[in-house]
Amino acid sequence: MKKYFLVILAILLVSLPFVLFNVMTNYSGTDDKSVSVIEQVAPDYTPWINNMWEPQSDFSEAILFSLQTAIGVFIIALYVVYSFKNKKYKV
Amino acid sequence: MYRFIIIAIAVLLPTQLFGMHIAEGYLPANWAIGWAVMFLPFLFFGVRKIKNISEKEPKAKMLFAVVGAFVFVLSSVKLPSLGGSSSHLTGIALGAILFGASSMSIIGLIVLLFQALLLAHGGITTLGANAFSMAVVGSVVAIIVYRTLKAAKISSNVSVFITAFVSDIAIYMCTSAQLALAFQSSEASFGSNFLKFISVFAVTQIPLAVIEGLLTVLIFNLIVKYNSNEIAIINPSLKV
Repeated sequence: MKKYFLVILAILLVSLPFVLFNVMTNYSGTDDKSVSVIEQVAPDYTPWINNMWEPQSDFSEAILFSLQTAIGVFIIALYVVYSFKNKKYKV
Repeated sequence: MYRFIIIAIAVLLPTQLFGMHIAEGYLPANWAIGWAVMFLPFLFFGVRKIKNISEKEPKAKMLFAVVGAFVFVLSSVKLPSLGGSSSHLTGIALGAILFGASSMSIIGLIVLLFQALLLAHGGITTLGANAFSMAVVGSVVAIIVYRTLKAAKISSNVSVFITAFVSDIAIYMCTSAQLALAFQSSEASFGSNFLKFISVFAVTQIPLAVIEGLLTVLIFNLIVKYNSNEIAIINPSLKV
């Protein structure tokens, strides 16, 4: 139990600065930066197709990403609860 | 109590997000088709492997769902990093270690399709390239690294951590190579392109790969603790 707690604490300590930094800054994604590099190495290149659909706002985009996270977290939570319930751990 | 902490971590981390895959239309058509064709055999073998595993051990479906969920969560979490960029974790190494490299092709495809259709991150035309780098290269590198470390009698936690770290970096190196190949010309060689792209992807990814390593160790140990019997049937070579 203590081992898991320490690992979780390590994850929080490592990731918390990034989360706080993210709140205070407006970093662009790496694909935005890669597009900039493409424009440097191939200035004549233009995208030959666009996304069929895009979220209409940053808020709706965040909601959809949260939906992705929520789906994953829900499944993991089900597994954790199921495993604890069945008490399959080794003593 | 710590299961709630795990859930809290996963829920608190997502914020406004930007993509990290090759964006729609930013891979010339011939390259987009080529990478898709290269990915298809791995998808075929992956689906067949999952089917065989599920027939051998029905409880594997639950574990596969957990592995898929892990990729879903990690690839949705954006974290700022070095160089003024933000990027995502991948989560591929966990499933590669547990189920084998080819099995991650279907999970990678589902995640990328979800993001391409609903979030305009990555794209449909770049699906093959993104899936190849994430689900094929990431998985194969993970398997090679993990088996090498275990053969060297490195401890399980350290092996899993290093595997996840290296796999994460390899995915982005592959993406850099894909773009460098597609945009090479007489004025822009593959080498110079690769260095430019990798300076965007891989450097940003290094601290994030550390986080992915830690998370992968956490979930791997959970799965091994509660499903060692099923893993012994699914992947006898794993020896947990």
